[in-house]
Amino acid sequence: VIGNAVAGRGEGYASASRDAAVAAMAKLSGPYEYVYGTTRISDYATLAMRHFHEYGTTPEQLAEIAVAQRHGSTLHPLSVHGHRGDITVEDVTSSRMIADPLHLLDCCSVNQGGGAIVVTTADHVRAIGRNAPVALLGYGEGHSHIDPNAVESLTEFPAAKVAADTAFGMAGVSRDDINVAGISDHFTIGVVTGLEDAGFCKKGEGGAFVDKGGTSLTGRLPTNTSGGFLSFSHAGMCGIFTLIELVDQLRGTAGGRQVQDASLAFLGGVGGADQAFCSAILGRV
Amino acid sequence: MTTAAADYKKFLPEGIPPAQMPFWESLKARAVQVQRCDNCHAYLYIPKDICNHCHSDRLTWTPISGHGEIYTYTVVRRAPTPAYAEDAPYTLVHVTMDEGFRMIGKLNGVAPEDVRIGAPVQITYEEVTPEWTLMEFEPAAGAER
Repeated sequence: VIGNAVAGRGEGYASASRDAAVAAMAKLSGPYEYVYGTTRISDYATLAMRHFHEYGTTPEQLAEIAVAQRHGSTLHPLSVHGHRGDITVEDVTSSRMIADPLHLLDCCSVNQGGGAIVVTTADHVRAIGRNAPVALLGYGEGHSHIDPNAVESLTEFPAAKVAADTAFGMAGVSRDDINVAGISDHFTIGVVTGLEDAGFCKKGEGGAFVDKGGTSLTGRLPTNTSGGFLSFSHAGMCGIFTLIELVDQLRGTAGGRQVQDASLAFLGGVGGADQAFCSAILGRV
Repeated sequence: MTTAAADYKKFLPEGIPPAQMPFWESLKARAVQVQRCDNCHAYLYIPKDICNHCHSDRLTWTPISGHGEIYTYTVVRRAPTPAYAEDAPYTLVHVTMDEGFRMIGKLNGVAPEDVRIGAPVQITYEEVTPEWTLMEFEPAAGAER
């Protein structure tokens, strides 16, 4: 049971060297890729390009994710990019192209920061009386491959389905029961494939799902309501921020970002470039 | 184009285990070979101790056609280091080879706006230092562009 949570932005977040970070992250892929000048962004760009090709997903649909999340970040006092204000779909699609088809605003930035959670018993949380207890109801993991050439498709990741199915099975709830989600969004395309592979829509329908504010605070499934990695914070093991935001939502302490009557949350985390996945279901108890 | 290793500022392969060197030696010989599984007949781009698909350890170095078609691609406009930035924008492709597995490389000879998924391509070789030759792609000879 998660009893307390805090989020923060480190004093020195602006001091991280962007160029050094980009170069270092390029070598996260092995020598069979990085010798050609791949970057972590280009890794996800190739996934997005194939998704566009197979399913007709559009740059505007990806942009909807960035727009929805930026708005959430403007309502979170600790967000890194919220102070920049709301953005439009056109702001995203007219921002500088980084690796086709991903624009600048389809990508998270690099910043510093940290978060923590405190895990204790529900009784202890109730005894303290400050916050409603939030429980981990189910979790799952899946891992399919290391080399991007060694997985059959770059648009469908069975390991993500395994992770989600395991978590939902353990929690004994269905996709329709989920009120709010947090899905790894290093790049906008990650939300599309994350929603699809976790079973919130059919494969190929993620673009339509997120279109017209589908993941916004008032959308069909509010997702990454704090702004996510794109607009809240992308600092190291930033999945902690996803978890903290979901706890805030379930406690009803999300302020202007609060999703009404949020009682069940889905968390989908990714490792590498869609190689490893973890899922969790959180709920009020 | 060969340059002295010290003048080559892009990333070179590092930490390649001896068991993977036949791949790089085949590039240097300009006749690429990859591992093929004796058990399930899958081809592996990145050499492994066991097959990605069936986990057999019976893998045999095998020549391939060098032809395939573009599975997906991106155009890198924000390069990882200044040395790569000199080439930007450049196109990276994942190619489904005729043998049914995917390889990764840089695509030369096509303007970024003309790259198409499904386009036929073939392997070329780029000797970047006396020690290392990399694999790249170009439009397949005789293919309509």
